[in-house]
Amino acid sequence: MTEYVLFKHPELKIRRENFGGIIKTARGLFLIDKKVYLLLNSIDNKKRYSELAKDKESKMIIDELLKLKVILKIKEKNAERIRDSNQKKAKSL
Amino acid sequence: MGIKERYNLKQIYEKPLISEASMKTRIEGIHCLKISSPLYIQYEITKDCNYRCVFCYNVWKNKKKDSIKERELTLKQQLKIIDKLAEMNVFGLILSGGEPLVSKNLFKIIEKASKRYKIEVSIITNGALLTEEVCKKLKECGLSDMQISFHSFKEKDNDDITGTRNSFRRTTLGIRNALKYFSPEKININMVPIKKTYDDVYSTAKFLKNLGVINFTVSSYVYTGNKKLDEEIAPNKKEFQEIYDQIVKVKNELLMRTFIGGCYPLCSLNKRIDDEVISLIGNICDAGVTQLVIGPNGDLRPCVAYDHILGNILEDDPLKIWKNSKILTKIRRMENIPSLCEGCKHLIICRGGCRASAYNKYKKFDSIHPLLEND
Repeated sequence: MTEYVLFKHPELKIRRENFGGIIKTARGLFLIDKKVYLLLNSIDNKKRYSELAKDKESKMIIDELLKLKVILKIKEKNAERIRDSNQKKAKSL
Repeated sequence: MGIKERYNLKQIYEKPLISEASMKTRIEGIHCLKISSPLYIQYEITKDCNYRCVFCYNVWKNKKKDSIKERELTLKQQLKIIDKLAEMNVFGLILSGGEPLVSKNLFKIIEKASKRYKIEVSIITNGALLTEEVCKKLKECGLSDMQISFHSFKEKDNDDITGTRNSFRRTTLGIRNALKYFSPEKININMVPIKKTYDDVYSTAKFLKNLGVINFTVSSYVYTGNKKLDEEIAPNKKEFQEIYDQIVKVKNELLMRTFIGGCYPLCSLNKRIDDEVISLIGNICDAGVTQLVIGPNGDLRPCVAYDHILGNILEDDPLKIWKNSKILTKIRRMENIPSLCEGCKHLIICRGGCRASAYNKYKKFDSIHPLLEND
């Protein structure tokens, strides 16, 4: 099965609130509950899809966030390729 | 699952699925969004302006300039304000004035907010000082977008309204320059139609479209600032209806992105309130609900048109003010809504029109909006 790596949209803004949080995306503002806030907040830099979508509810949330482009995904193999090429570039500088 | 709470026009005053995100208002069935701090701040960074617009709504412009409280802030103090906004986790910062480009501190303020704190920064300007060099610098500092005021395609009328010779030429050139450095999506041209120009809305939009403008809005007249002129220059209900009809034409014929901003009573339009009417509303009143205003001296107010000072951002804790202010609570609880509006299904969107305008005209917050005066 293809593994995906998830990361937050670079322009995403997240704010914590008592009820969960508010996110600002290109599509507008959304209120999110605590569960969504915690899930989003757990994506520090990047995270594997399988690690995050552990149960049915988390999977539903992640898929919805992907649909809204709050988070983005990339195939793990491609992510590794990009990382390697970036490292090479950095060394050559 | 709580991510379908799209926050739009109506949802500020609708009970959201996440019940902790709302509070009850005085009016049954209407709730108000309850958040820990404002999402947006409008900061009037200077009182100075190079234009003398007849309709200017600035509430502080007639106050004495020499009192210490009214003095403008130093760069150090202004940058301290940006630190405070970052602590408050605001998403967006709108810099206005006066004319923000008159301030020598503008670029540093934009740079700190956008580059250091990733706050989305926009400016409201009359465009007169938008040279190519300034536009380039604004872009480099991280300015996200801008609103440029422009009031008539007729040169003389525009100059008369701004009280400044050559303002038509200067602003037109400023718009052209801005379009060279910013994408058209990031530039909005705003017109404030008055009695003299209410039937020029469509032609002004057409003129701007030929310059490459794609976003054109009009603001409904705000009855604050120089109140002596209101009777003479504010459009009446019939004229406002004609402004609305032209905006529909701007949308359908010129295919420009457009709306009417500034919170007007929906029933001032002589028509059925359908989806088209709703789609042309630029904003509903979010004073003290999602937005606060900082005056040139750091004083906090609920919105640009309210003259009620809540405290000072440099001397008081803005989060405490946001949470505990009696004025803000009254606004959020809709205690300033005219009794005439109670029971109206559109109240959730229009709130009886701008409450600050109503107060300034009749000295009562729960009075009707001036546009409804002869009804």
